[in-house]
Amino acid sequence: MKTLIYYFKIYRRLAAQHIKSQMAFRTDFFFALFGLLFSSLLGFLSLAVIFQTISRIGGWNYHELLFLYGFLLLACQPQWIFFDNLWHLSGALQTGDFINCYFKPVNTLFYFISETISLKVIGRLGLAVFLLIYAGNKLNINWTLLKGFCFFLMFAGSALIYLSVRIMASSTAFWIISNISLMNFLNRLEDFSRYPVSIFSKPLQFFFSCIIPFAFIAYVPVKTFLKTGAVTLSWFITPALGCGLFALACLVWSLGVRQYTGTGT
Amino acid sequence: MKKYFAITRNTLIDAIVFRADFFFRTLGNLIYIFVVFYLWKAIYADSPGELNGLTFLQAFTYLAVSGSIFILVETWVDWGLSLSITRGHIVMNLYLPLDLHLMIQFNAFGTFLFRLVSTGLPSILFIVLVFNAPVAIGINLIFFIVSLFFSFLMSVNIDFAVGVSAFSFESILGLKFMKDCIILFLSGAIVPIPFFPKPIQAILLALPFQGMYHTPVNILLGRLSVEDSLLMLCIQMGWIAFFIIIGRLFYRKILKKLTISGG
Repeated sequence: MKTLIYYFKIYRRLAAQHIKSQMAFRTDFFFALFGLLFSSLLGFLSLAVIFQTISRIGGWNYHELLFLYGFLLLACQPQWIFFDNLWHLSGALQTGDFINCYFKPVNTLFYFISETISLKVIGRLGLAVFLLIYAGNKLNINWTLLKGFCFFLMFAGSALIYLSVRIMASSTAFWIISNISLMNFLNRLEDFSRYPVSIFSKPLQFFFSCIIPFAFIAYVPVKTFLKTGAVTLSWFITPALGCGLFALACLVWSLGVRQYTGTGT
Repeated sequence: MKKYFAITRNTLIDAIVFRADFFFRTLGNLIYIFVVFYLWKAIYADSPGELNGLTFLQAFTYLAVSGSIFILVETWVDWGLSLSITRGHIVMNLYLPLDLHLMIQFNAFGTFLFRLVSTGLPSILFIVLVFNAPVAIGINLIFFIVSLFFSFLMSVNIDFAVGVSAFSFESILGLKFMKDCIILFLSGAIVPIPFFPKPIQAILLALPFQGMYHTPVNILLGRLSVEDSLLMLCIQMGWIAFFIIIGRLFYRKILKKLTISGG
């Protein structure tokens, strides 16, 4: 508990510093805010356009898909807000800046990600909440305390899965140094998790559930949530997987940290 | 002209060095093609015939080829240019007895060529051969290549204008993001233009962006007669000229304001 409070205090200081430095570039902040919001809005708009012509995709109607999309956006938020620095790992390894993390008496992953806190994505957070409320209303979900709790657990699980995949992907930089194309590739894949995975062919379904488990970020939890009535054991698959993957991601990270030798300057 | 082609050659060689990049780009595009295929198959599941005048295979080809074109024409010129303005590297280019605007175009052309051969054409061949895409074979293939090149020119000149104007906005990543999204959506690369409601369609066709994806893809599909194709190519050229003028105007203005400290 003591260490937790200690970490929290450090994080608050560092985050405040980062926000201050960001405030120096206000126009940049607003453009990024709108750009990111707009890119997510597009997912919503393209669904709206497609549903002008048809009424169902793979057995899912418009509002169910909006709910799915909202859930996906929400599950990605923790990574986008708190772990944005993962994008810069490859750069920090190339310049040697990463060596800083070894000199601090705190966890390397914690120290590295606490360098930035990205508030640019709050527009997307707003959109996610809006979509969940709007679509949830249209779908007449009868919320109970238990359901609400399970929804939160699933969200936490999905967020952990997404975060873990990101951590592992950026950790590859410890071995291959330049991994921007891999990170971009993941971005592209992430766009597809907003559709029901069941519409894809078997090999792609396998790919999205076993190799890069993006099916579990939105499709699996939302499907169990919307389409099974009572709470059963299957509701806890996502949270359990999330915890397992996160442990694995931390392991990969620490292996990488041990492996890195600096730039020698 | 010879010196400019030397720049093209340089970027070509540069591009070949980064093979991991190429690998993930091609793999990503391949998966994109498959995902688009199954997604639109599900969309067409209840209506085996045509939706909005497009058959399933036509809609699929439309989007899959658009996705491949996006890879060809994404230049990052705006990004590089604004970085070199804000960091001051641009002086190095201003010293040279070359025109910066032309230099950037030839530079991006090298990347375009590399991607055309390494990712673009193979992807399109893949779409045609594996999915049996309804591509018309004839004079339109020549028009398609020309239109592809125009699409690239349009992209690079839009990027140039955006990159230069980023100087006064102090922002580039957000601007680039917004620009990419707007172009992809308004050009029909995410949802085919025929799927939009009629009044919006009219607006989209009047905007320049349809020239980047909608025109080349329609030519490839053989949905345009020879006269129409030529007309669309002329419209593309008109918009390219428009963006060149805008870009150069911005550029001249920026050069006057530009001060770079120290060195």
